[in-house]
Amino acid sequence: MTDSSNDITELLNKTVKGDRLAESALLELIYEELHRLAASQMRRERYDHTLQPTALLNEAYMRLFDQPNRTWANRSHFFAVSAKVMRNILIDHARHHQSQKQGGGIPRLALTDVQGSILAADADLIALDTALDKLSTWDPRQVRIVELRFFAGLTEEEIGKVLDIGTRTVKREWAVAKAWLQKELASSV
Amino acid sequence: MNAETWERLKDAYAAAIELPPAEGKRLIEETFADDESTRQEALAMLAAAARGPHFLDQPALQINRLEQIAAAPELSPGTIINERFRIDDAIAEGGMGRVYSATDLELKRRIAVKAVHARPRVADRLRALLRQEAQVISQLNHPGICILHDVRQQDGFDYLIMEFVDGETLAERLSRKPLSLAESIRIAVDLLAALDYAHRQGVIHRDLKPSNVMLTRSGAKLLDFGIAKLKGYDEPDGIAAGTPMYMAPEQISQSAPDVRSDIYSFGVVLATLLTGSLPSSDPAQRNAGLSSIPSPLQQIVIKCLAEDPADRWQDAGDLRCAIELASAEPLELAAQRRNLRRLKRLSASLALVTIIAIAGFSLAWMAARRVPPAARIELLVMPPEGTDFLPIENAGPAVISPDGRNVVFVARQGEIQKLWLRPIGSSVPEPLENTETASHPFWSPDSKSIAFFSAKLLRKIELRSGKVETVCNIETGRGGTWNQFGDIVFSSDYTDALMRVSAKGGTPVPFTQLDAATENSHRWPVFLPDGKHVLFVIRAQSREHRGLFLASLTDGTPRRIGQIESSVAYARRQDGPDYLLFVQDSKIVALTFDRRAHTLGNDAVTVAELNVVDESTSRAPVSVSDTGILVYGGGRPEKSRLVWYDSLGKETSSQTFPWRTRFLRLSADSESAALERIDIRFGTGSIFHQRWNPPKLATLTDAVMSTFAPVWRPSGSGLAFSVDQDGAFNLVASSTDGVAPRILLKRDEMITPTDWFDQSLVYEITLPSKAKSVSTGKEPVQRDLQLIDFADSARTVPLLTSDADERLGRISPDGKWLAYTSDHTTVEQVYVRPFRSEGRAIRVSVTGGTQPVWNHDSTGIYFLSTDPDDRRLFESRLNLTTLKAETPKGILPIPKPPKPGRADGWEYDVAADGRILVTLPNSVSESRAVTVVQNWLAPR
Repeated sequence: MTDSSNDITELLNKTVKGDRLAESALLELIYEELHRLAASQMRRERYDHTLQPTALLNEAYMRLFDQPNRTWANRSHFFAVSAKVMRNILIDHARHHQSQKQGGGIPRLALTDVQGSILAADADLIALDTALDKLSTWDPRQVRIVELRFFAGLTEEEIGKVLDIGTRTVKREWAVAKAWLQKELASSV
Repeated sequence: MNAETWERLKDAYAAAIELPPAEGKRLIEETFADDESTRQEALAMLAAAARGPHFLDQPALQINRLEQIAAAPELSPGTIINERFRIDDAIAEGGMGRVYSATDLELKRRIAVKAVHARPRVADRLRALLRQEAQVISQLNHPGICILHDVRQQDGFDYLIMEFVDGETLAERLSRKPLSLAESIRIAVDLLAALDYAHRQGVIHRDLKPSNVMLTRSGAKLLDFGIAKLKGYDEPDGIAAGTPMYMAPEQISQSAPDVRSDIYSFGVVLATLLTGSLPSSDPAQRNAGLSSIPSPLQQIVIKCLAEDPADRWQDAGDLRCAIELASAEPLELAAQRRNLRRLKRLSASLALVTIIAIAGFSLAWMAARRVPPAARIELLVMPPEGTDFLPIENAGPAVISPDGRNVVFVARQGEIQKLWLRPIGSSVPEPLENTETASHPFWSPDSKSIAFFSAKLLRKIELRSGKVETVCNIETGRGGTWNQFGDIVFSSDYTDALMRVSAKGGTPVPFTQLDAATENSHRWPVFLPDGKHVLFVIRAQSREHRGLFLASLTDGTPRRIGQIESSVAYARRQDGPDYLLFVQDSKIVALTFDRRAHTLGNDAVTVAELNVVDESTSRAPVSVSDTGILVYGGGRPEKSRLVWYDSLGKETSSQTFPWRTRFLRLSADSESAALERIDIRFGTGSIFHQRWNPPKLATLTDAVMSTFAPVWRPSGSGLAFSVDQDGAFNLVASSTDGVAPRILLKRDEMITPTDWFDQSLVYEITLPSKAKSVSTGKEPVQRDLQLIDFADSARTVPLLTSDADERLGRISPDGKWLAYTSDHTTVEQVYVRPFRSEGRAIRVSVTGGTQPVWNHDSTGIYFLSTDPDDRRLFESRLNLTTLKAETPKGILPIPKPPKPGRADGWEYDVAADGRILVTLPNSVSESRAVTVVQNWLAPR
């Protein structure tokens, strides 16, 4: 294991114990790594390669920890922290693209599905970010679920492990959160 | 919303969503009958959820770029296009269309057909134009370019009829596994050869990327040359031609691309090859991502990726040459060196990048060309994994054995320095045990033993047994030679003459005598094939006394052979005259040598360009076996960095030089600096002018004259400097406006200009000491400050003439004060006193200071502390009314220059805005490859 992965493990352990400073340090590290990975993937040769967020996280995890088989406890916690980071990255991207759109420049990346129809515009993502902030004031756990599912691409089972709750609960919470967010986004447009 | 309500809402919603819509709605309405806002909220949620799929359903990153809908025809095998080209098989599908293998039924050959996506918006007129372009592209005929035979149309689609290339694309290859450095370089060189060719035909690729590179048995081949433009990609929706990640910024911004856009794309490809991932498009982050690339290559890549095309490599051929030179491939047979004209052209840019300094190119090359042709083969040897070469001045160069079978060199693994043996034809160098601290090895004539200097001993190791024995005691060791009669001649110390000792061991006896009045050292002895005469170098202050000499073993009287100022390698040849090889103007040069008459021939042949002459010891990094194998280069070049700091001592930018610099002097506008490049052979140098905007390094004086200590003329239109010539020193003023240099002052003593303000040129002069006795241990000289007063018919005026050393005089910008150093208290300190008027001196430094520099408004002095353990740049404010200097404030540490870099001149200067420019020794220098050459007399 490398020195830096030792550091990260340490940080991770501290965050489990609720050390806020460690969490922000960890966030920064993960942010850097994910950002790098995401950026490099987004600029792979053809844009129509699908970016798998879980794959991205896995790669970031491997890089940061330099060890393929670490315990799930560590891993789940890592994912929990990373989901936040992914959210930041994507929202930043959306904001960046929006500002670029005003100034012209490089053809922007939009969230589209495989058939090429637009799924989420930058404005949607930014609105989502605002809505999540709002939601977090009364249901932070639900925000975590949204982050893990939408931004980190985790399955409901995985989310259950990360948050140490049952899959059924995840399903239910997600359904509610999604409906509420859909409602929020619809009214914000 | 509060948490409690939310929980109720959740429960109700979760229940409601399971029910048929109408019932669900009713459930909500009932649950929140008395809570209007929550009811509305929940109902809105139900309505939103009923609207069908939402982007939240899919994870955010499973994204796709909205592709232009463009379809290429799908062709089934057997389809015949234009009644001539039969489709055989689908090969690939790319961004531009589908590729098929096909048969040209007319010419009965295998071809490739690319069915291009339809371009509905390309008007017929444009199409005609494109056909014209296609003709140009189809003229390209180069092994590294996939030939475009024709462009055909059928049913509204375009078909590119191309050469069939068998292999896989670089993109495919990269996705399988990373490429080795050697593979990457080979591909890069192939690509550049193709680009260079095409560029010369006026064609640019415009879409260079891994999927357009085909790896074939015969090398890399570029596909789709210029086709991005052909296809009219640059037409719809302002999407530029090319592939964004590989496109140069100017292509993206849609200004006209040129060859340099291809260079940029190539840079992206090369970076991808070397690092395994695409470089960041953000220049600020990019360089960090490239840090894994070996240094010279890294610099080359960075230069490819410059934002401004003007800052990039301007020419694919130059770039290719640079890459070949910078890539030291261990055990790879490097291709024959080629195209020396290009090398010459390259020298300016390479000086900074690949540390190649190729001085003026001359008839020597022409002479070299006339040598009968035979393949010259080179291979490069790098230090073994985990080790470094040492600077040649410390450890000596790699040396080939007389039988041509082994190369011995010194390498360092961590702190352990020892000899390594690299058999020619084997890839594995081996360390020689019990040779710790070894330096300057030399071979026994039977190639069975190696002698070396180690910890004040001359020792030898027998290769077969590994037995190490001491021959005799020595001091530092300045070279040795071993003849067939068992004699060793060596130089014991850097100020010694030659000694002689039996290789079996014993007490050395003097062989030559040093003329202490004129000579400094006899060193680097080499036996002639007869074993009875020794060639060696005499180092001396004046040119007439130094050079290559020969002495007979029987009497030891030096006889002058020629004005050769480096050590020589003796090349014994069967089928022609013998040669002596040595270093001259950064080149390995060979001159014929008559082994009987002991005379040199006239026509120098340039054998190799040295990347850098990195020695202060006059040692030429060259050896030749009796079998004609030449070994040269290696070492770890001394480098320096020129670093800008802001006024607070924070580094803002830096550049690297392959040599040491001193006497930095910023121009008045701080846009450029004059500096002295130290020629470490004699501690003197040549003068360079560095500009930053745009960066340009110009030579102002060449090394032959030995010029030093530049100071700007008050007008800024030229420099004054000192020239060490023919045993005398001239103070010379040069000008940038083309006026011939003018000698201002000529003295036998060393004179060093330190400042030129208005009508006063201040200089330092080294005079015989008036007072210091030898017993103090100091040099029997003193240094004084004088000036030339141009207001008074250029009279020389003594300024500070005490028995102590007064040095480094600088006039304040207001012209009223002189800063200088004096060691009259035995410690060198910085002082300020009224310039050319009476008044007492104010001491500025506290614990020793040197190299004073005024700030821009004469209110403060910068200086360096002299404490070797805490050498720092200080600034001290002056109160010139109370005549007091405030306590100096440390700004930044400045490490001591390595020996023998004397702190004789300024290592820094300060711009008017307080920014600081410093020359620093570069601690991270890299080993240079040792080159092994067979048929070294063959043209390169």
